[in-house]
Amino acid sequence: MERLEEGHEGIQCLSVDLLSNILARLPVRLLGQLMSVSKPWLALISDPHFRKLHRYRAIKSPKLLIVKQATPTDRISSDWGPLHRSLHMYTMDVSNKDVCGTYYTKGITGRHYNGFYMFPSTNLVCYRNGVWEYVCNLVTKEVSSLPRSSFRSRRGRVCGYILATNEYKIVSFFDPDMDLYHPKGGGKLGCEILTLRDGGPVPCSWRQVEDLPQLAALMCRSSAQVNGSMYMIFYRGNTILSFELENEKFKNLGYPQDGHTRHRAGNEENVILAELEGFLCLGYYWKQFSVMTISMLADLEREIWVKKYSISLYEIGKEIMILGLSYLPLTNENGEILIKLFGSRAVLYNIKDKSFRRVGDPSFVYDHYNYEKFDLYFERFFILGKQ
Amino acid sequence: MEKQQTPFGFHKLIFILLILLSVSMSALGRDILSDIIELKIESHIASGGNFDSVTVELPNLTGKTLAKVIEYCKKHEESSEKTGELSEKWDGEFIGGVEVGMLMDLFLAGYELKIKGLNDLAASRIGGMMLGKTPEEIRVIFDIKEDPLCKKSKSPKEGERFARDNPWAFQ
Repeated sequence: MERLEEGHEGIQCLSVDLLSNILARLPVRLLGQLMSVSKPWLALISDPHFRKLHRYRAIKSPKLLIVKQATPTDRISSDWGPLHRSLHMYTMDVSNKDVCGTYYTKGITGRHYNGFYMFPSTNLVCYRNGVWEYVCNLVTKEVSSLPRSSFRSRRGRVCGYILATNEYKIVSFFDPDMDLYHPKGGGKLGCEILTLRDGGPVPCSWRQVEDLPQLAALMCRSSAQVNGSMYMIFYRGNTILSFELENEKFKNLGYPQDGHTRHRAGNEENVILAELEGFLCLGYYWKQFSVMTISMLADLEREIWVKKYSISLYEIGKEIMILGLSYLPLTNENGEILIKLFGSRAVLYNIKDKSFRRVGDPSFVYDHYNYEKFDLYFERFFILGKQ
Repeated sequence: MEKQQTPFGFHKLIFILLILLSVSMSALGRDILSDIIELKIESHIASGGNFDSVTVELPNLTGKTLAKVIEYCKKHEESSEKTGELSEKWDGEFIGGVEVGMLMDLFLAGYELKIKGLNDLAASRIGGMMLGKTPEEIRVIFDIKEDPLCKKSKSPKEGERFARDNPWAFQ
């Protein structure tokens, strides 16, 4: 092993600033272990200023996260679906194009496939294991159980992150009118919130929100966070719903005013929301032309949308469904758009070269029991804590 | 009396600086040293000192380290003139072949001389050397002599408290 030879300044002679410059580049899990190197290191890594520095640095270098659900073939029981599943989470460095090794594996028991949420750009994954729901912080590999909601109807969940306070807010939509006598519900939305604070504990109940605007809509279909607000679109919703994370205020926002999107956005499956380069964007996939157009909200106050990109997806395939978009900066002028597709596929689109490259395991066979999901991952210093 | 001497002292200083600069700038190929000297004089004046007693502390660099710094600066100036892009491959090879002690020196030199690229490069490399290592290995590599904080240390209570406060670090 290499070691420090005599006559050089050792790492313990470095000032706090210089040492933080080195340590702020390291992954959170490793920093957890490095806390036991020495007392000054423990003091530095526990310091709120250092953690803040680490968080701000992490924003600039997103990685690609791949979560793969796999079911061993002998575990599949024909009638009820798999009882045992495992989630494998990988991260991929976008710049050097290498897939890092297995990052984390978690075994799950249960029949519910639909209780799985991967919140865009948050590092949080929610899943059901038996009757309980859990949240997993992929950065620290902590798992904590979530409180049970008093409402059974699920109308989608979104999760946003507040950088200033290092908090996550999970917003869960439900239908308040759905009960035994009205199994389809009344088509209205209610919402409850769970705030996850750095260091925990996870609250033991959801907090219901009163002043949600009257919205006759079904399931939340796509969401994106831009700065301090979440934006969501719903099936049958006529507007985009925005939610300010810090003061918890809801607002309505109009769709872009070009005829096609405006009239069909509420019903079409081909519309998605995304945050690209710090702006709210709305992608529309024109199936008949295999083209996706992306409009950008240039002015939030005056609701001015401008056409930003037009991406030909002809070479990716005709029968595709786009689930989401994310932006990965490469350099100051160039970046890649991660296009998440239905059916365990994702491609990276280079804005400058207009070229595609596939991500994920090419030999992976997608079916009912095995799938891959893609997202962005940030090494964010957030400690989940226990309930 | 002292006040009258100030202009003379100042000129003498500038003269020395000019010689220093002409020597070092030709070697370094950019005015890093002038930056650092200017900064030091400014901070000296700001703190209320007079010109007579300005002592410019140049960073404590060995000849070997300085040679490396110059190699880095020359390469980066060349490549920025030619293509406008810095070769990451060259950086990787440059920093990859350096042993730990020199790496620390380069990191400090980059910081002292305000060569951000070199500072970042060395910091990334030092960070990279910590990846996948246990705390004990890191203590050996970087020759850290301070008390370790673990359960076997002199104060087991402290270690236990640390493990209790930070359960995520041990999962």
